[in-house]
Formats: sequence, structure tokens, C-alpha cells
Amino acid sequence: MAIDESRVIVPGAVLTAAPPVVGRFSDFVYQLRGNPATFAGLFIVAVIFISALIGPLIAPYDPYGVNLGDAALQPSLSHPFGTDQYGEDILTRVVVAARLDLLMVLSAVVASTVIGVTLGALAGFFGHYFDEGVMRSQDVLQAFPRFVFAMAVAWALGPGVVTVIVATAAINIPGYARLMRSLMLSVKEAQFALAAVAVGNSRWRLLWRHLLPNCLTPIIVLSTLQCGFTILEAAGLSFIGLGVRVPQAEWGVMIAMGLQDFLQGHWWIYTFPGLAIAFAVLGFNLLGDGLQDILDPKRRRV
Amino acid sequence: MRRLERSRQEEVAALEAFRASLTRRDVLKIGIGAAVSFSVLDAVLAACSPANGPSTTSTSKTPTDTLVVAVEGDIDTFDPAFTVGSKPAQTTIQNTFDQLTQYKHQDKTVAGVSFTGVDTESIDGMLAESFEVKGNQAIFTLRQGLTYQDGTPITAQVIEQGYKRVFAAQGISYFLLSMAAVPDGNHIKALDDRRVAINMDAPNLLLMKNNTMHNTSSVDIKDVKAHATPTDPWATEYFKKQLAPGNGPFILDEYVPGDRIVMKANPSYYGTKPKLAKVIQKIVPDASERELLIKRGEVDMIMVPPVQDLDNLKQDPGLQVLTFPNPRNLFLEMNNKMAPFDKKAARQAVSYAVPYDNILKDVFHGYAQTNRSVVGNGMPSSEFSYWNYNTDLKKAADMLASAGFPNGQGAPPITLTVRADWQEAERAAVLIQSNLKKIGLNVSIQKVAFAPFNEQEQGRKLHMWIDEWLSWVNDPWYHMSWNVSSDSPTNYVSYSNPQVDALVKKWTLSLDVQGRLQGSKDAQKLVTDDAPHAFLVGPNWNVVLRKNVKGYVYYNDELNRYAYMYKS
Amino acid sequence: MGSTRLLLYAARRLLFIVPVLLVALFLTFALTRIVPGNPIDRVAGPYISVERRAELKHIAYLDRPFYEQFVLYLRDLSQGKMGTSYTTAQDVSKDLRQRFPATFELVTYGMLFAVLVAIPLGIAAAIKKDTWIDSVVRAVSVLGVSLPIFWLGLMLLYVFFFYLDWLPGPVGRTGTAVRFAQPITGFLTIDSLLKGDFELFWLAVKALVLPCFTLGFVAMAPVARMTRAVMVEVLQSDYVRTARSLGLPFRVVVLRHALKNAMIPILTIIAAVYGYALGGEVLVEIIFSWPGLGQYSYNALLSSDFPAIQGFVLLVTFVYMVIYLALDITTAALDPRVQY
Repeated sequence: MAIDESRVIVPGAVLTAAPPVVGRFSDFVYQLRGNPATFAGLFIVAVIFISALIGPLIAPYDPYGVNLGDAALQPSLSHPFGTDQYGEDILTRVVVAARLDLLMVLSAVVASTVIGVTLGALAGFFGHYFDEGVMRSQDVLQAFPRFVFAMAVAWALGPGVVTVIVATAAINIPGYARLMRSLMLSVKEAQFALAAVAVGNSRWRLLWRHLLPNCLTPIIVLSTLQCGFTILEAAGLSFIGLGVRVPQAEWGVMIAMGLQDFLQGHWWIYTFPGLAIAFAVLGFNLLGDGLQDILDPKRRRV
Repeated sequence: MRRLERSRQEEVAALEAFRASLTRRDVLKIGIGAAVSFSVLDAVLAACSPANGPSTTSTSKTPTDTLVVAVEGDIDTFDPAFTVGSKPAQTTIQNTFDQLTQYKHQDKTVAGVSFTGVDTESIDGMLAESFEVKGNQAIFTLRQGLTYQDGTPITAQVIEQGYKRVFAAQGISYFLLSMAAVPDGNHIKALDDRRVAINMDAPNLLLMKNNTMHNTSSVDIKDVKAHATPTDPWATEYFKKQLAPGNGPFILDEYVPGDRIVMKANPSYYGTKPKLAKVIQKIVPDASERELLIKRGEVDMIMVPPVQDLDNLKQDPGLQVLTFPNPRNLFLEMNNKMAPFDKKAARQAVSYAVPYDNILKDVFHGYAQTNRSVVGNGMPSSEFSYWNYNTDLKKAADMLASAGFPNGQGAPPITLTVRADWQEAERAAVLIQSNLKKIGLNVSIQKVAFAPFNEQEQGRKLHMWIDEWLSWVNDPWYHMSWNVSSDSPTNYVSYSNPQVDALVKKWTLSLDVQGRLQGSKDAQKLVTDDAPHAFLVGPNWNVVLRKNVKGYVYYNDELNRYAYMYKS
Repeated sequence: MGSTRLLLYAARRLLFIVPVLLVALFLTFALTRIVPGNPIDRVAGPYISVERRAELKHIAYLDRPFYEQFVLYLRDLSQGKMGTSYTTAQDVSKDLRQRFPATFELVTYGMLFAVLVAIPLGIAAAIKKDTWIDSVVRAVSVLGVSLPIFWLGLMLLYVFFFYLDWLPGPVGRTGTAVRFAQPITGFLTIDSLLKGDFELFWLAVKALVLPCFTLGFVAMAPVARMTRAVMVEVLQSDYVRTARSLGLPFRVVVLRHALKNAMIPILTIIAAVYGYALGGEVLVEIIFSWPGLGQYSYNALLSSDFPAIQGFVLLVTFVYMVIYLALDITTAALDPRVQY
């Protein structure tokens, strides 16, 4: 586009400037090479995705194969992560749990992003009473400490996968709403926006085709980071029994099961699922941080 | 408005923070290093895992005249007329209130275990110095000079009022009397200052036994009147959280909700004074935590220890593990009114699928007996020979097909509910779920806390659940009236068989001892065939004590009698 | 600055809390009504007569329509009554008061640890940007944000209690069964010193180490990151460079000028982290069997104890809002750009 967008200042956000000199993908790879932590993050997230996709297919044991003869075995060659108190192989369960956890987390993040962004965009764009109304409601939602609110929602809905998704999505909505609103308020006054209006775009077209795409980058960064935090919250809910139920393969549930055998010293039952969680969250955090760097022209590698 | 400002700043700030990204190789190295060192640490830990965890100690940290007990829950009510759920509450009432009569002690051996228990066929006077049962009437003569701990004399009139309250307060305790043909408070009469008569509508063998339980303890009417309100004339709200002055060997010294119940010896007790000066019942809801406390010498006794650790605890030279086989049933309950369990063949299929051996050995580690009938081993007339549901998945699948659900098709998904703090039930549930999956039944496990669990169970809303039952009166017809009679308030599975009902009606209040035993066997045959629930196992009652704690007597209600205990 | 104007501002913000609190309370109230189950059955037992059941229902307001129940709850609240807990049978406000000190002590020490460690670390990392110190701080921070708090507690318990036996296990505030302390401030550490009971003091400290570190480590991470980020920006800003070029000693520059301007975002993130800690401490209390509000709320949720749940959420939300209020006022006082 011919408009000089480099003079637009958006808090913390990024506007793609002039058409790229090199292809987008090779540019992306170039950025990655200078940013090893981000690369690590991407790698970790890819590993999680791959486990989620093919893990259950190639896993050596049945994740729900109760076999009391092999109960609570220490890690060994045949069971690299050991077995739990029912004889189920922990490595298999950790890998299979990736699928469930990822599914819940992605659903929650997508849901909260869509809802939050919509609310924030409309609030910022239309302003006045609508803006006030939406923002007050977000105030109320944000008045509760996050996890306490998630606990209350999860308790009201009863344990289950859908509950975890709804509860964790609910606490994330205000973050997106506020962010989107800030972005929208700035972008609304940007030169390219004024130009688009001058040329005769309708309000909705302006909103959808011109303003939103320019707000995407911070949203993407926030979403990536939210994936990490949502994993922690989902695992926390399942750990205390308000989320996914025993004995499903889910990382939080597995830690709860490990807690039962704590005094017997079977540390592997809760250690490895926890490491999996930390690993996954670390990956999303590194990736999110890195995306911010890559997509922000001020911090790009040149 | 300021909130907007702040939040925008917050947004900026948050995003700025996210910019503190790790773009240096060093950080990557450290990150990888951290991950690697974690796994190395774990491998090292694996290599030198200690065998038994935190050190045990044989030295106790509590004074000799004080017994410190870690109990599993808090008080639900201090009112004898209402107690049903919390054993610590019942124990406290049992130690602060005496009854008219009580069982005599007896040394016995059950399933190879020797212990001091009670002889449920022989009764002694407690508050009553003598008693007499003639036809429809039981007359109790009170001892001279009895008083409550605050000095109020205990007369026959006071006892009569106490019984009347049991009926009027509409708790659960009056059932114990109404099932023994004493349907209302008018059947209790004080004949004079020292003699109380209980009149039965029909003579029966149950009244004297039911009457030994703490539930019928008399609260002083003076205290009731002092705390009654217009909407609550029997002071039930007050006595929920306040213990009335009692007449037993101990007095309540201090109660801190959620923390502890402290009792001290009653200096004006009429009977043998307790050897202990003080009993501290510390409320520790987590079983592992109780275990920790006794291993470290912080407490002298723990209730409901984790079964899976009992073998370990036995190895500790400072501890003794007591286990008492008893007729308790652990039932896998199936709601007879909800599909698929409304079909007998489906229930039988489940009975064939349960992994009984695994439950006995791997969940209860042998601290249980096999249970093959609604009347458990240790109760007269218990008969296991009618049972043949040995674990056989093929037979289970066939039965399921004959019920109309070949390979589980057409059967609705099943919710198996267990109480949240009950590890053994949860483990058994997982094993059962796994086997039922193999015959095509889809079971999901739900853990519910104690109070809502009871509510749902009593409301007959549960689908399939695990629960236990121990009858405090060791009589098969007492037991069956609660469990298999179709109009029993605790027949939660809604089992109904008119033939069984007829037998219950015929034999419960009968005086024909032989007839009752034979009739019980007939009833068991019917019940076992109907399979309203599956009989999982008969869990023992377990207690862990420090080696120097003596005098534990096992009563059928499993409540601790601290008056007989002491530390050497 | 005009301190009366500040006070007026504070008063206005305080008032603003009330409507939000009301709506929050209404939300919680509504949530409890979604949950199936009849609380009366649980309180009274199933064997009571129909009349008594109706009577109990009437006393607990459960026979009124929803909005009327809410209004009655508010009326009771204004008198300091929060309803009777179904599990402890005493007024919820009394329950909360009994358990508040344990949580308050834990969260206070945890947050103190977090802030006292995070800010110096963040400053050091900013000053020594791109050195190994910086890398270590950033690695530890990203780790702290990634670890599940309940898992961290378990791991610490395993190493320091189970394996090394240096610290007490999850057995409450004194690490032992029979130590009763009469509360003065509610802080065991302070009370024991006031009474000269050093043994109790030491027991309390040992019991606090692991839970506070668990909470503190996870809380420290975002604060350290933010401190570093903000300090980096501030150190590169014009006025700092001016101050340094004027020859002011580095320490003065950092402490007087840079830090003061970095304060607002740092305080903002501390407030946000405090909110996180209010949720995270529930998990910590569960792992360590800490007799505080977190464990109380957990038991209340499991037992569907509606009044207790409402009371807990109300209290925690109120505390959270007060924290944010304090933040707003401090921001207003410090930041000349903010008008009030």
C-alpha cells in the first residue's frame, strides 16, 4: 500500500510496513536464526503438537491399561517414566495427555480470542455507551482473581472437559477485550484509516478489512502466551478435581494421582507430568516472546 | 475513567514486559541446561530413593497422661438424636454420655485375629444398676446418686424426657427405637424416681441391643429448655455445635471447629475413673498426614489409616497396627430403578465382571475379608454358599447380552460415584471401570465430597456408587431391615422383592431364635440371586497406635472408649 | 500534589468499588444457583418431617424468589452476617476470620520474598544487560512463569521433606500436631516472638519456608521480568543519559531517578501478581495442608457449601480490589501525567 504507515504509533503493536523485500517465509527463517530462544520455543511447541497428533497412535502401551502386577514401577528401560499405581505406563499417558490438554487449551484460547477481540473491537470502534458498557462488564470480570473465578465457574458447571474450556476461556476474555480496544482506539485515527474512509469505505468494511488486520500482531502474541497460561490453569483445575476426571490421561490429573502415593516415595508418578506441563508452557512463552520480537519492526534483526 | 488509564498503562506495561525476551544464545544454553539438569537430578534421585521416606521415631512427644488422637473429620453435630455421619462426633458423644445399659467385654478371635471386643449377647447395666425384661416391658432401675457433670441429678423423669426428645427432635436416632416396636415417646414412662419403663408394642430381641448405642442418650431437659427457641422447642440448632453437659467418664474441655476436640476426665464420674487425664482429638482430614504425624511421634493414635501403608507401618518398631475383621459390607451399589440396572441380568453381569481378588489384595492389601452375601462374615447366619459370581468376563458378557445389551450396545453410559477422600474406594472404582470396559460398558468415575455424596445417595439420584455399611447391632434382621427391605429409608438402591419383604416382616421382631436364623438364610439366597449390589469385600477396621498405648476395646460401633485406654 | 485532592480521589475510587463488588457478588450468587442440589437436605438430614423441612427452608430464605434472596443476603451482610456455613454450622464471617491469619501470613511472606528478590534481580539484570547475570535472571524468570505452582510445591516437598528431612511435611503451620498458640496478631512468627516462645517461632518459620518459597518463586518471575524491562528502557532514556553525562554517580542515578520512574509499571505488575497469588495460594494451601482460606474454599467447593463459597469469593475479591485501589492511588500520586 502506498500510504506511509511508518508514522503510525500504536502502543506495543506492529504494523506491517512496505511490501517485503524478500519472501515472507525466508525472512521468517532469517529472523529465527538470530533468535535461538524463539527457535527453541517453536521447536518445543512443534514437539507438543506432534505428540498430540501421532502420540496416541504410536504409543507402546494402552494409556488406560490397568495392570496391577506392574503397579508403581520405577523408571526403567521398558517404562522410561515408570508406571502409576494402577500399572499404566506414564510415558504413554504423558504423550496421550498432550492431545487432551492441547485440545482444551486451543479451544479455550480460540474462544476467548474471538469473543474478547470482538467485544474490544466493537467497543473501541463504536465508542460511547457501548464502550462504557463493555468495559464495565470487563471490570467486573476482572475484579475476581483469575484462578478463583475459574474455580467458581468450574464448580458451578461440574467437572469435565467442556467445563475446563469454558472456565479458562472466561477468565481470558477481558485481556483481549482491553487490548483490542486500546489498539482499535489508536488505529482508528491512523492515517491509513482516515484515507480508507475518505475513499468511501463503509464502517463495517473499514473495521473488517482495514483496521482489524493491523491489530493482529499483538493479538497473536497474546494468544500464544495465553496458551501457556491456560495450560497451567487447566492443569490446576484438574488437579483439584474440578476439571477433567480421574483416571483420564491429563497432566493435572496425573499429578493428583501422584500425590496419593507421595508418602510411599513414588516420585515419578507426579514428576513427569509436571515436567511435561513446564516444558509445554516454556515453549509457548518462548515462542510468544520471540514472535513479539520478530514481528516488531523496531526489534527486528536487519 | 482512571481505570481506563491504568489499564492502558497496564497493557503497555505488560507488553513491554513481554519484550524482555531471550534473544541470546546463553539463555538458550541455560534453558537447555536447566531441562537437562532436571532429568539428571531425577535420575540421581531414582538411583538413591530412600526406602521408607521421612525418618520414623520410636520416641513419643506427648505426655503420659494425655492421649493425642488424629481423627479423620470434624463434628457434624453434637446432638445424640441426630448423629449419623461423623465418627469423631459420635466418639465424643459416646465418651461424654453413658447409656442405660452396655455390652460386656469379651476376648475373641475372628479370622485369625485376637483382640478384646464385646459380647453382643450379654448386656450389663451402665447408668442402670439393674434391669428386667418381662413380656412387652423393659424396666431399668437407675443407680443411686447419679448426676450430670454439672451436678444435676439424673432421675427417671429426666431419662423419660430425654427419650421423648429423641422422638420429638426428628433426627435419625428414633428409628432405632421405632424398629424395636417403640414407635413414640409415650411408650417411655418413669415409674418412680429411679425406675424407667420402656413399653414395646410387641416383645422382640432388638430393643436391648439398640438401646446400648449412644444415639438414645438422654440430654438433660433442663439444658434443652435453657436453649429452646419458639421455632426450635427442642434446641436442635443449639446442640448442633454445643455439647450438652453429659454424665460419662469424660467432659468436653475445648472444641475449636476444624482443629481439635479436647476432653478431660470427669472428676465426678460414678464408675471406674479413666486412667487418662486428657484426650486431644486433632482433626486431620488427610490420611497421609495422619500417618506422618504418628510416624513422627506427634500423636499416639490415628483413625482410618491409609490401607496401602499398613504393611510399612507394621515394620516400625514404635508402632502397633490393629486390624479388626468385622461384618462390614463394601457394596458396589447399582440403582435398581435406573437403566441398565433395572434388569437383573445386567446387575448379575456386573457382579461377574468385578475383579474381587484384585480388590482384596491390591486395594486392601489383605486387610479385609471376602464378602459373599449381604450378611457379612461375623454376623450370625451369614451364608456364602449361594454366591457364585466368580470373576468371569465371558460369563459377564453373556449375561449382559441376555439382558438385551450385547457387547454393551444400547446400554447408557454409567457414572460411578465415589466419596472424594476415600482412596480405597477410588482405586476399586478404577479397577471395576477397567473390567466393565472390557465387556462394553462405558463407565466414568465421579468423586464427590462427603456431604453432597450423602445428599445424592439419600435422594436416590446416584447411578452406580461404592459405599459401605456396618450394622452396629450384630443381628441379621436388624441388618436386613435397613438394607433389603423395600420400605427402608436407607435402601438407596431401591431394591424391592416382595418375598424378601415378607421374610423381613415375619422375622425381625420374632422371638424364635432358630427360625430367625433359618429365615435369614432363605432371604440371603433370594438377595444374592437378585444381585441388587455386588459384594466387593469386607474391609477390616484399622487403627494404628504407638506401642505404649494400651486398652483399646473394639466395640461394634467402632467408637473409641477412652475410659479403658492408658499409656504405659 | 495537593493531598486533599488525592484524598478526594481516593474516596471517589473507594466508592467506585461498591457497585463492582455488588455485581461481582451477584454473579457468585447466580453461580451457586446453577449447581444442582438441595442444601436443606444436607443440613437437616432426610428423616425430618415435611413441616420442619419447610421451616428450615424458610429460615434459610430458600423459599423466596432469587432476587429477594439476594437482597436479604445484602441486608444480612450489612449487619456483618454472611450466612451459616453448611459444614461448620457457624457464621461464614467467623469462619473467614478464623482462617484469615494463616493465609495472610503465608501470602505476605511469599510476596515479600518475591518482591525483595525480584526487584534487585531485575535491576541487576538491567544494569548488566547482556552479561551472564542478565541471562541467569531471564532464564530463572521464564522458568518461574512456566512451572505449575502446585507441582513446584510437590517437588520441593519431596526433596526437602521426604528425601532430606530438613523441613516439616504438610502438617500445618507449626509442623507438629499439638502446639496451640493464642493469637495476638495472627502471625505465628510475630506472636511467638512477642511471647518469647522461641521454640514455637522456629517451628513456625520452618513450616513457612516451603509454602512461601513456592508462592514466592512463581510470583517473583513476572515481577523480575517487568523490573528488568522497565529499567532497561529507563536507563536508555534521555533524562537518565543526561543525568549520567552531567557526572552524577551511577548509584544515585539508578536509585533516585531511574527507579522512581520505573515504579509505576513495577507496582502495576506487583498488583497483578498479588491477584495471581490470591488464586495460586489456594493450590499451595492444598498441597501443604495449610489451615487457611484456600483450604477452606476448596472444602467449601467440594461440599457445595454455598454461603462459604460466596463469603470466600466476596472476601478475596474485596482484597483484590483494595490492592488495585492502593495501586491507583499510588500511581496517581507518583505520576504527574495522571489527573485527579
